[in-house]
Amino acid sequence: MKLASPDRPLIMRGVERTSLGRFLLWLVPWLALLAFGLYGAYLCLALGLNQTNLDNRFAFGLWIFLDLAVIALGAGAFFTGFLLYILRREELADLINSAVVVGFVCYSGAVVILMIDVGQPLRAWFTFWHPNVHSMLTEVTFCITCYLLVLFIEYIPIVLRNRRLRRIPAFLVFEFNLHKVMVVFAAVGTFLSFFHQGSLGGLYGVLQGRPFAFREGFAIWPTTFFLFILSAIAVGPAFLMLVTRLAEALTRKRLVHPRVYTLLGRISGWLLVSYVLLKSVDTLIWLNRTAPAVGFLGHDFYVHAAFGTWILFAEIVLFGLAPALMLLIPRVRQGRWAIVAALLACFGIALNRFVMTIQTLSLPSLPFDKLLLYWPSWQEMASFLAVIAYAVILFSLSYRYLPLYPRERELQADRDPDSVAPRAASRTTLAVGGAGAGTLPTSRR
Amino acid sequence: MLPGIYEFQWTLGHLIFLGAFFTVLGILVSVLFVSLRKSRIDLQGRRAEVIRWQQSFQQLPADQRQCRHALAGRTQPRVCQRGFACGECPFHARLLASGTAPRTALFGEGSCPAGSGDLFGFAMPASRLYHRGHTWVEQRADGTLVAGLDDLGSRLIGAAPQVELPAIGTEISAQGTGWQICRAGADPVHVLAPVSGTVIATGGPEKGWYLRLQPVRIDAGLEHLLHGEEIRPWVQAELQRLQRRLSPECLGPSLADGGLPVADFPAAYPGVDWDTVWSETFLTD
Repeated sequence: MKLASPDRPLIMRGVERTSLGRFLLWLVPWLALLAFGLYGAYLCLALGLNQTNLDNRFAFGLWIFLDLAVIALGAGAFFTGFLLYILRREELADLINSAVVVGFVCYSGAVVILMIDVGQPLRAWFTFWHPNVHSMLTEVTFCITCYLLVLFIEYIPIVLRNRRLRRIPAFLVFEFNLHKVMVVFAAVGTFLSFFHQGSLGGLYGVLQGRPFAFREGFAIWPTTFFLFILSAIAVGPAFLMLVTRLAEALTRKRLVHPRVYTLLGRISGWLLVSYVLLKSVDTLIWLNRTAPAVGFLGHDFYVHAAFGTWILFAEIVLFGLAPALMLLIPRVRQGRWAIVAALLACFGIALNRFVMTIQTLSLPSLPFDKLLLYWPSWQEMASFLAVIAYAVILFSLSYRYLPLYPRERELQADRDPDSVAPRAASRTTLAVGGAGAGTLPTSRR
Repeated sequence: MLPGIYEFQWTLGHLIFLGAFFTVLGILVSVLFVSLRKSRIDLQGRRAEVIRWQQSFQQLPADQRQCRHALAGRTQPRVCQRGFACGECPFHARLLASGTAPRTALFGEGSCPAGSGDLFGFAMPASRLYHRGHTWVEQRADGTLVAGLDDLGSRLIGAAPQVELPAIGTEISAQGTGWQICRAGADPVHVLAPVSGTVIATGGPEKGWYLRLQPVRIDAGLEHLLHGEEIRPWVQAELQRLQRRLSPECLGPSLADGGLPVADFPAAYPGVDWDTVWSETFLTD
């Protein structure tokens, strides 16, 4: 008998996982990073925000950039749920569990960082009991909290599908019943996500003191309200592609059917093209109308070497248009270059969130003002890295013990999941006209 | 509402905003509550086994969910969507009505109308009805049913297993757990019950491990079991699947070597992940 890993009873049947020793070895550096980050976070909470390089000018620093970026990247969870449960794109069932886990780590990481940023986690409930209903950020807080609850509920059935937990009838039955109402959670998640993604962008409609980021729009919704939604749903599927491809590369296994990548690539490509188009129109309107109306020429924003026009080019063309066009070409979409395209798209969205936070605050907005640069303190960076480590650890544990990729077993067995005639069957002939069992073990008559 | 807030006054903004927020929270809590309540009802109604089978069935690869009529060559490849519940399948009913497929028939104890029952070296008497989870059923003259593990299943489990049969008087349901087989160092193998019934007697190792059941339904509920000409192609498909699993590198075309299958497959293939083979063979997760 093959020597089984001690945690084998917890691992799904029919799938191969690395030995427990190697898995723990993989976790060690991430755990170390997490511990380091927790220490940084502790310093920030215990000693105050003087541990950071945030100040009155840079109220939005690395943490808010991280929050905006991961919330956009985590949009794959609600969007995949919407496509699967509402639009019935059944092929995405291959990916929905991992999408939920990705969404959960992104949003929970964002909320934790936000609590460190706000600095008074014990008073977090204040925002719910003393809400400023005129603030877009209050709406964001409410929606993100609710959506994290939705993601937590969506995560429960995945956890309950663990081989050992499924043996407990109560868990089995609860998971079954929860799964049946998942469409409700998908719909609520979609509703919440649309609003908080939008409201994050909606903030720029009231940021009149920052002409670089200020945007006009329709009624109380500036153009950035819609651009934030569109960019998030465009890049969410690309991020899922990236995570899954990375998991496949690390485990050296096929985890989902190739057609899933094709679908995600197509969806991401079309949405990204739409986003780039609207973003370009928005940029032209801002440069020619919005900014001049408050006394700025477009050129004024790009005179500083650190934030020259290259950053605009990089955001819209290099990390926007280029990956969008790549994903729209079927041959590229189905090949290895799709990963490069997905990576560029994800980087593009992170750059956009960087521009809308750090660059916005760096640029002078008054005549006597000057460019200020911000560099996060080690405590800020440590907390940032802790979220990355937390995400890797939770995803790794989920991959090892939970059915993140339901078709993995079939794909591993070299079977076409939809075929009733396995591919290998044509290559074997069994007991043709005889009594023996072909290559199965036999004893002599 | 919102007590303790100095000079708080409701505005339209508060009503809309907080109304939407609490509506969403209300929906989430209500749906969770409904799921919990439904779970409680299912547990009280002893539906856990039915649910387990529904989920296990959906996870089976398409080639193991192939329709019995496709296996027997009566129709094009077709995947079962009903958990092998042929009695509820309109397609099955149509084939029975048109005479394309014969009705389930039991031939009685000891009889063997179609040859010796030797299929590829395995004893699979045609007098028996077979469940796709490698169990068989025979009907006795008094209307009771006898169920056991088929020869292929027995050889895959190997020698000296520890079997846990249900106690007399236990009600078991078709596709639910019939009995468990334990081998040292491995998780117990759950063998699916081929039919529903109440256990009235059991047979130990000297009698080849069997259950004697009083069927729940008057007609015994045997529509889903394979019989006659369906047995051979099913066994053949199972052997092909096992070949792929036991020789993943694929040896290429091979002919029958004239030998007999060994009695203890795990002993002959010590390097194989038997836990997975058993779960695939006995259709459990």
